Amino acid sequence: MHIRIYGISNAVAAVMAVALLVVGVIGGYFVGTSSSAQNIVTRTEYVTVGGTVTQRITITTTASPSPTSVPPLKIGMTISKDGLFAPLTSGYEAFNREWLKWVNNVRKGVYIRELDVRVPVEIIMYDDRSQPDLAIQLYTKLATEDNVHILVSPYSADIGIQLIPTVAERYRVPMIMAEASTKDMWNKGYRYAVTSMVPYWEANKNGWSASYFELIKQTGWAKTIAFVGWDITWAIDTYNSGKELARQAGLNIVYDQLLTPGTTDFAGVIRELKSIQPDIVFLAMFGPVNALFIRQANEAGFKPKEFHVIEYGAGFVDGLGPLAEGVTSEIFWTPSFKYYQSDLLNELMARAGLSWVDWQWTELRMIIFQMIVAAVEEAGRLDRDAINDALHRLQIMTVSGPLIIGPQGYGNIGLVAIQIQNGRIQTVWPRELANATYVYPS
Amino acid sequence: MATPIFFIESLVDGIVLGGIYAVIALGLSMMYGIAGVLNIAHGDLVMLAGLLTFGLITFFDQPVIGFVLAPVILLPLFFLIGLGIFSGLLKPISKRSPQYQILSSILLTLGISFILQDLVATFLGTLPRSIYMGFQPLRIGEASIPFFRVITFGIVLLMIIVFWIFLRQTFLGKAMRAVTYNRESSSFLGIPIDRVAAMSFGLGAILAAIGGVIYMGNGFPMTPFIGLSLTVKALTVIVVGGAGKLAGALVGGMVLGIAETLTGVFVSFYWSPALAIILLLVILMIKPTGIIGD
Amino acid sequence: MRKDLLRTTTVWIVILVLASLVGMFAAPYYISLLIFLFIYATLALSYDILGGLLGYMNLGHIIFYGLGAYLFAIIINNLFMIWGSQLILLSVFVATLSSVAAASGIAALLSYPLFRIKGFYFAVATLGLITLVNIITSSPEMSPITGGFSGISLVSDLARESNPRNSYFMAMTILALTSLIHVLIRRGTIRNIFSCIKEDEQASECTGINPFRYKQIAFIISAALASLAGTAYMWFQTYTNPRLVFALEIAFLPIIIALLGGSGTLVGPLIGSIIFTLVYQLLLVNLPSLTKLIMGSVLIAVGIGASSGIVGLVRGLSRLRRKTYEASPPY
Repeated sequence: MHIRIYGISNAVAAVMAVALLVVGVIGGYFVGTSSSAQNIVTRTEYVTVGGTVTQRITITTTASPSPTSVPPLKIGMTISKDGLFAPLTSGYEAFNREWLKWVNNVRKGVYIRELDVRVPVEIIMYDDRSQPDLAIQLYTKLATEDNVHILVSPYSADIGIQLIPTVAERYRVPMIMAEASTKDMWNKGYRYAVTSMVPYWEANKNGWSASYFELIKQTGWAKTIAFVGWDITWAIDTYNSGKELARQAGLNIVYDQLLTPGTTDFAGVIRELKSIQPDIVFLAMFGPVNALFIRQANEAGFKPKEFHVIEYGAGFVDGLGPLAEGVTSEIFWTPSFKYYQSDLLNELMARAGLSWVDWQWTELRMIIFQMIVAAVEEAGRLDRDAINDALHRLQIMTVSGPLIIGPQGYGNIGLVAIQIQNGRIQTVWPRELANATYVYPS
Repeated sequence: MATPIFFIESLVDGIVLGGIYAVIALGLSMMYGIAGVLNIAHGDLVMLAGLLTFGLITFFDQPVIGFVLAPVILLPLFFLIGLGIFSGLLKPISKRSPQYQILSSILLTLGISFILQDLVATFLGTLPRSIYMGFQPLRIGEASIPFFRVITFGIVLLMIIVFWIFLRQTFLGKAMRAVTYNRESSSFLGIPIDRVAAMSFGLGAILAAIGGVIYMGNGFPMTPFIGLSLTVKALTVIVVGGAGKLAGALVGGMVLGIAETLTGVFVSFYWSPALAIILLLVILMIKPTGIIGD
Repeated sequence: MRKDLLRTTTVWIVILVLASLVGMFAAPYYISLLIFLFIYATLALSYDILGGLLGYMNLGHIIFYGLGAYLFAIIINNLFMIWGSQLILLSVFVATLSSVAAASGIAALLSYPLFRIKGFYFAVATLGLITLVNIITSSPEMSPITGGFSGISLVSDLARESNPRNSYFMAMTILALTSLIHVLIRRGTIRNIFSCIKEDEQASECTGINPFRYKQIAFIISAALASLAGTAYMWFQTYTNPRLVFALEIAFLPIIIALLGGSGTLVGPLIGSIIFTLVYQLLLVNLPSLTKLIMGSVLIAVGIGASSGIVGLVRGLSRLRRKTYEASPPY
């Protein structure tokens, strides 16, 4: 009896395993490869890094026919095609591709003074699947095996803050922090990190919601404000600076509730808010979660005079429909900006199929590309330390205005207040940049 | 802030939450108490039902169509799934010694859990999904309660009544209760343990499906990987209420739901998730057999 | 008997030497793979001491893994501030020992409340503890020490000292130590007492054994070894956060690996971790989205076919071949 049971079960197991392997091999055969447009080649492959299997996307120009191989400028980064940050970053793949086409075909590459030649740009992207440990391994791989010249941070400040000591400083590769920034990145004497953004955790004109609170002070319509947020890097920065800015704007803070990151049941909070009836509700969480809050509030019959969210992101306007009307937020750039290469940014986004309504921080990526081109040409060499120096001394014009990198490594690009009106995102403050009037209850 | 209305609304919230916990835990309790299997994949069954509900609701223009259709399709489906899992995988090992059985069933249900997670993630992606049906809150006197919570309350109440009748009046129900009291005597008395166990798995899966439908229906987001934490929650509920008895799941669910909500309101929303586990540990130290256990 | 022991010992020494050679000359990619293998094996073996030999399923085993990692990082970061880069080796040593000592102390304290419950309840309680530790570690109150939600990392000058090669030897040494302890327990007289408690705890109590003492010892040893694995993990990765180490997803890993290979033996968890690492990481490069599916099927197959693991399967088959009839199932 024993023998038979072992025999049968093992046979079953063996057959299952073989069947699955066959399916897998056939499936693996069809796994994506190149999609080319003009002479830009995208290569997608699967790699195993540390404990996980993930995607590696390389965008390059085809090898130039000249015998002297020109070394490309290599930029490395991860995006999240999976997990928590996917709705906020997966669009960057297409954007990167469009920018690469432009920089290689239209601009004809980047000029390297030392070699007296224009070199093509190459981007290597991994999918970090929103997992911090995978991201660290991927960035390590970018620094040590792929030998990129510059790194661009992932979206998450939580991951970003760990990447600086474990990759950028350790392997001495300059890293530009994209959306991720927080105070503890800039007060530790790191030498290889820079960012374009203002130190938005400060409770002054640099603050994340500074423009918005200026607007509130100007119009003076609101008296009370409630704060709800996740206790996670970046969100907590905006939360704390927001509270101080609110006080400075003369508002009375009637509610102050920090939640465990990951909380998605706001019934209790909403009930408390209903009995308090604040004028403004300030939501400091990720875009999709803010949308969830607004929906739950509506279902519970709570409608404050205004919702202010620190991020709206993909699907917010479409998903909420009429509920999104009047919601305010902030952003680093809108199409009404007329600084340097705004038209190019619009064009690249259009070609990438991205609407700036859904992809709130694409302009930061554009600024980063502008920074990279300028820094590399300033450095004159494809050398990490030279590029790093140039980045730290950078003073250029970007889509969001003039950028000067300060001594700590962060810059001066700030945010402007926007409001969703009729399903469109309108700049409402400051006056010089506004293209619509702020709508508020009187 | 702590007005009577406020307290009542919070209480209702806690009861509804507790109801969802109770339904899910009852399913797990049936599988454990009657079939003797600790189904680690129980939370994944809930997840599957919830995400299938999501699929149905977003498929139609009118979300309500999808929502009404969901139980009609899912309940029989999950009954079959439950039966299938038991008969196909768990019965062969039920003949072995108890220690073998526990280890085998852990491996088996864990394997099922992995497979479910991967299948759902492959077809629906790994992002959190939630639905929005846009109802206006119901006003009862001065209190206002989100519409769907009232529906959930109704469903849970209906469920409890149906199960109560089932367990007390029908032969199968009585047989099931007998097996939870004493397995050996039941088989001596001629109760076909295997068939009763298989039915309990089927019914347990139905309860998981109902749990998933109302979880998703209340607008809570679900990812394909939420299963394990749901299973742990259900286990906590069962142990707190009393693992030997089926009613333990109901008691535990209510206690936990209300306690969590009230902690959120009166202490801090930050720590209320921790409360469930603290309660679990306290109960285990004081009365390991649970609130109504013996 | 002596010859047998000599032979086994020689085999293991040869393996150790081979492993060291691999560590010195192989490419960093393979070394990184092996480090994870060693860490998983250590976790499985340490779990097995309480779970397999004594029969108490500590589903919260990885709590001590995470504790080891966190304690190591906190202690060594502070030591670095005092001693600087001169005494790195000493810092690693001191940090590791202190982490293990602290973890053992915590285990000793926890054993008093935890062992008042048995079996199913013990498993559920330890499982629930994982979430609780996660919440506490992530909380803003604890974040000055633990780094809260964002996690903790080694100071960058320290992190620079860590590389796959020295991490490899650290992990290898720890695995060797764990294996040794596992063998000593399994072959020692204490094993009999463990088996008695596992079979029937009440009866054992009647014969004069104090089950609690032995459970406590097993728990402390198990926790200490798990925290050792945690220190190796921290040194290698130089970063972690609560969701990586106090997660339900990896809670079942030690028990899966132990059961896969064969609980209660030395080679069992080793084989289990080899299979797990290989299958999970190498063989599935082309099937990223089917990884869990295949793992799940393997688990089911093993659960049905051979739940005393691969080792049990091999023993069963060899018994069949030798045509000896065994009254009890392979164990």
